Amino acid sequence: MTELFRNAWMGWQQFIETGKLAALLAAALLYLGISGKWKGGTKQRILFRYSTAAALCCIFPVTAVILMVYQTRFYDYYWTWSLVPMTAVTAWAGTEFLNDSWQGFRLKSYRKGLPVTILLLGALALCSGMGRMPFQPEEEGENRRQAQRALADIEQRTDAFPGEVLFWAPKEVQGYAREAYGDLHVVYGRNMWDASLGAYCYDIYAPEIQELYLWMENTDETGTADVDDEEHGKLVLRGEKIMASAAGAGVNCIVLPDRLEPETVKTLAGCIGAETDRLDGYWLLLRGE
Amino acid sequence: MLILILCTLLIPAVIGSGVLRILYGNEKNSGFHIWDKMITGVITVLFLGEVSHLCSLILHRSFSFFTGLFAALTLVMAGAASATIVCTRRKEKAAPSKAGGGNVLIFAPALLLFGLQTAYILLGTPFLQGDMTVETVNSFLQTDGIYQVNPMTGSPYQGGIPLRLKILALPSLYGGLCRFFSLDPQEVVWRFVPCVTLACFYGAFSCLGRCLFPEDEKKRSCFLALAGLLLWAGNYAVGMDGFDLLNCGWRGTAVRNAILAPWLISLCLRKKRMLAIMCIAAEACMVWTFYGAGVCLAVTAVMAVPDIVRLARTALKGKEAPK
Repeated sequence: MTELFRNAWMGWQQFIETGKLAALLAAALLYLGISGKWKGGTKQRILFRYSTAAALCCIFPVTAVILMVYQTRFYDYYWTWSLVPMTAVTAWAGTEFLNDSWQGFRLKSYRKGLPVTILLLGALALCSGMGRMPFQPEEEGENRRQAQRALADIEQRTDAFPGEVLFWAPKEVQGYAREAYGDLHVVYGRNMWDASLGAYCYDIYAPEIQELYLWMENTDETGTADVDDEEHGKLVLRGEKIMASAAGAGVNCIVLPDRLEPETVKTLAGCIGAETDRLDGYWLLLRGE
Repeated sequence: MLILILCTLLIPAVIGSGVLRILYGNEKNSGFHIWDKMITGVITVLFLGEVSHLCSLILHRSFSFFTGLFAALTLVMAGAASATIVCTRRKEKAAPSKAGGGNVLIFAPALLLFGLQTAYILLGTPFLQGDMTVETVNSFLQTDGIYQVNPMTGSPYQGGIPLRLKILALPSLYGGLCRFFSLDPQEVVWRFVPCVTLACFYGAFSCLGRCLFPEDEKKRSCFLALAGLLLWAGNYAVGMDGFDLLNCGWRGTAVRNAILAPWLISLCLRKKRMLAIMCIAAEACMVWTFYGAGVCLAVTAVMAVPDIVRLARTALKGKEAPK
């Protein structure tokens, strides 16, 4: 229960930290309340009262926790705000505000209407995330295009791809591979690094498979074939051992980052009797039968 | 793709119109808007998808069985709806239509925003964190089975998946669209469906605008344009209407927040309880809820409180009156 309260409180702080549409909603409710627009009719009255009550319930930790329990705990705090018609109420208040400023949307009232409209649009821009996003669309788009090129290249060079291979690659390629090829088998999926996907199935990865992921990402980052445990100064994962482990799991198509030296790649390929080839930005290792 | 767009416009409109006539009789007298029909149609198609999906799951049938059943049910429903429309139209011929044409130009700002947002969806990078819809659809199409393999790896499940996830119909529905129209899952899931969701978002807000400003078209236009601007403004965090709709509009939560929630509020304000129940059921078909008790149920229940209080007061007064 303490954790739920903490989540509710932290969730609220995060919710108002990234963007300020919640503040705009508060301003909208305040404007509707003070101007008396909410008394315009039964429908307006119901919507105003409902929105105010729902917003307050999402803000106060006790009611927010109840709502979080109601929404199955599977969802994070910010999903409780689905109950609040934030867009609808803000747009309603904005409409009433502009209608008053333009005196019934008459072009003649531009002297007052235009500055107010510009002011409102400015406030809207300030309350938005100002271009901030919870992910990097450009970077992800570029990664996807690169993965697409690499996979198309593999498809051209190998008859067995995608139907008869067990595929292993750096995460930007591995993540894209299953989106693009429904009949491709991969040694681990996107749920290896995207924890939120873990809730969608009961399967868990064996420690050896998790080691494959750790090794590949470390190799992608450092360009070396051995993973060092920086805290203890011990060698944790050796490239040869990992290759043997991958071969043991049945992996027969491996994509390695091209940061690895050609000699290192040759050594790794030799461990499992694979042929090496060059792709755009990657090494390709193919094991025969 | 063109056929898909035509079907998306026609089939829900016909089915929705028929369903509204069945539920409420002659809908012209019930004050329904074209978007009420469209959204009702979309929800009905979702129900048909859910029925087909559950049948395939329970009977352990293939994905082809699902697509066949879903197509058959949709065609039967469309036929029945058309028949209902024709029959009721004959009866209502004498009734004059009150629906005004309205000035389309007045909605130009909202249309412009819709166009820009459609371009953003079609050209942008989808947000995939926490979502595996494309992989799931791909696995359905490739294995011709529903949840036969783990969508993440392509290998058979070892531990299986939660039942309440298994019953959600959206992946099957998207897979069905891919198969019917020979389209790539990425095109359908990342591009087509979010565009439909966006269109229905404006539709739902149009219905809500009619509730709040029944006599004022200018206010409705401004309301729609501001709602569109708020989508841009909210494109900064997961869970905001704008972000979900513009970056992952195929997800159940995005569809619920963008279409079901605003439309449901307009229904509750108009006291259209049967359609509100449809919304509650639709949410249960596409979002992981607490045994069907999701946002829509909570909104309906809370918005019904004034009516319940009024009824209780009337009942109490009725009891007190004889004294």
